[in-house]
Amino acid sequence: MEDILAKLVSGEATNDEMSMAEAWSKESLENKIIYDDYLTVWSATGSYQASEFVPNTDKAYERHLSLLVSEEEQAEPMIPQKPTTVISLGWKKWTSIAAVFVAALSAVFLLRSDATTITANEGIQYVSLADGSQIWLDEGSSISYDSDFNKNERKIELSGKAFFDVARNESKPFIIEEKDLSVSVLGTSFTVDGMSDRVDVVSGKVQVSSPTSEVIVTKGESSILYGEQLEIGSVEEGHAKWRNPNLSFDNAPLSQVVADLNLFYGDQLTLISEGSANECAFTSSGLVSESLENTVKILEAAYDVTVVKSGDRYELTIMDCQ
Amino acid sequence: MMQYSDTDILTDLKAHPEKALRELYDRYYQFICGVIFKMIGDGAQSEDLAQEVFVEVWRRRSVLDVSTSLRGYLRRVAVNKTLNHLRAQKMDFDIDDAILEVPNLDSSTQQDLEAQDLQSVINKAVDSLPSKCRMIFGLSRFEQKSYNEISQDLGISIKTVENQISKALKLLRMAVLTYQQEKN
Repeated sequence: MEDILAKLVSGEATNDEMSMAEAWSKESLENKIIYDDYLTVWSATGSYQASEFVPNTDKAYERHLSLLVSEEEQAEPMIPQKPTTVISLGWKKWTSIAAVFVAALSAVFLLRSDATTITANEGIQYVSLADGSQIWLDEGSSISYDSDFNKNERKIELSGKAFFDVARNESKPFIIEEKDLSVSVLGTSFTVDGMSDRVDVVSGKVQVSSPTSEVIVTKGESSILYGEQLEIGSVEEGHAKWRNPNLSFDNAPLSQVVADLNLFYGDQLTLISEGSANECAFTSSGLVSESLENTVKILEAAYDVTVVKSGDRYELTIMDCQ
Repeated sequence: MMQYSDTDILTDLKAHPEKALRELYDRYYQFICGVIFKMIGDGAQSEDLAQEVFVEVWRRRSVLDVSTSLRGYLRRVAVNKTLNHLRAQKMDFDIDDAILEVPNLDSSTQQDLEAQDLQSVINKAVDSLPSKCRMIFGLSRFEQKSYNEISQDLGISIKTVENQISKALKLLRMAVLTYQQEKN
């Protein structure tokens, strides 16, 4: 229970865990005291002041000045040069660029008059758009689009972080506007993280622009906005799993279920369904511990579906929701 | 003296560097040291990393956007430098680096004990957390990072993050209990 209380106070407990903790706290006075203690301790640490640490500003400033003097001989670059530092932030081939995540300030979300806004209030939110594109919104993030989305272009405003799987349509560019970045694509899948000003591309190619800089980012690459400069690095395979790390589904449409499963099982599932069947709701807790075979069996039990297996690929044909 | 804003600092960093640099340090050095210290709990190391932050901001002075929040920007650079530093150390977060110890309050004199309130007990207890435990707790509590983010930033499993934060809270709670017992 103490582990759950820890998750509770740090905001990481699931709804089930929260109810469990609350029920437990009501079981006895002793439990209630422990429950309250956890809340008190967490809150008190908010006002934490390091007891004995007193930084010496003057000394640091002097040291900085002496650093500058010793650098006088070298030409001080006015544009940031790429120092040769290896960063180990989980990016395998990331060398010779000292990049830092610059988190964007929380965006003020401008609502236009006939715009649709979707916010992921609790957990990760899946959205499917009229053009067939799919979006996974991180908790707390929002997207907004006009009623003329998919007319001549497909424009989305993003606040926060989302994964996009954009349906290919060369005549209608898909454009994502975020506070510091603008991303434009033809047909690809990638994460835009407004909080770190970062774009990670899983497949295809995107163009990322900041007010003063522009880059093309392709599969397996990532771009971050560092100050005013966009820098490129590589992104680890499977990074997109953030959008459903446990493979749990809460009334999720089948289109999302298959997409998320394919993320973990290497695109072995193909879904063939008639329009509305794509939206059949599916609920299940952590499928990440199941084999693909078992997962397909679970899907078979949940839907009126025909499964055709060829090699290690599964083709699901669904006619109707059950 | 005329009001000297953050924007002025940024502009001056290009035109009148020495003055602006001094102002930058006066205004933000302690704050940045604090941000870093909350994550790693080592004073000397915090000052080293803080210095690196200022050196880097100085290097980038010509491309800094004057409309950015300077404080926020410095903070983000500091957090990321600290994360880089932690990862470079390749610490094994799965190994328990200490027996479950309670910060030693008996060494305080009677006077100290009476003068102490809950807040200073908590402060001391956080200071006394085993280093890896403290880093992870700091990232969650002070930098508001999610377990997922911490696990990605440090390259460790979410389970390890859960364990360490649970451990931190256990230790902190025990310190509070000990303090309450001794008071009564």
